[in-house]
Amino acid sequence: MLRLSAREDSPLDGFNLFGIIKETGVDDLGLEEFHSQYFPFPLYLDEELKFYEAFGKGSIFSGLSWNPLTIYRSMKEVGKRLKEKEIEGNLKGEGLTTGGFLIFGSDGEPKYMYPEETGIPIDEDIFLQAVKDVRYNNRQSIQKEL
Amino acid sequence: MAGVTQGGIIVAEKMQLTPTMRNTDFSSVSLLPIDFTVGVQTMTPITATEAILSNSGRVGSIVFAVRRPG
Repeated sequence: MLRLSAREDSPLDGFNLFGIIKETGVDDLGLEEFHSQYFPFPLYLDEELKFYEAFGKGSIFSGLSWNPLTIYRSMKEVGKRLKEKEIEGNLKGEGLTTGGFLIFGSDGEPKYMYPEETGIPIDEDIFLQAVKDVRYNNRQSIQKEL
Repeated sequence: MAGVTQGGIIVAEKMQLTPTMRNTDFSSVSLLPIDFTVGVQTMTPITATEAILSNSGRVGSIVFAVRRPG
């Protein structure tokens, strides 16, 4: 997401980003590092996990094979991606319930969602099509008001 | 399966809102803003709707529900 927001063609122009987390007081150093280095946008604590419930409260194990070799390969692939992106991770805190991205219009209503899939990077093309549609509808509603 | 919107834009089925998401009442969801000025401090709770609107840009906002930040 940071890469998308920093792209020269500014595909996220007109959108502001913010984040939701599940807990504080478990790995605050990791949280501070995440905020300062990887996601420098406002963050909010969702103690009751309502956003995660709205995403369907998925688990990182959903859709995973029980074949140990497949699990090993998946974890290795995730590790490789993190290394390529120079992201250091740890295993502190609740990391089983998956999250995702949610796109809201300027009216504050949810328009599209992108649930996280463990080990699979975000498909930027389909994400940006949704962004494009929200932008189109926003322009249409402004034109109607004029 | 993808949906074609009014503007002729094709948006993947994966990105469509589920009934659970569509029926979520964000005005009843409580969020605590986090202040990083000195360590990690939580502030007075606000509703998710307030967070969404106060963070909205000209077109909208994008929320990242983080699985684990560390």
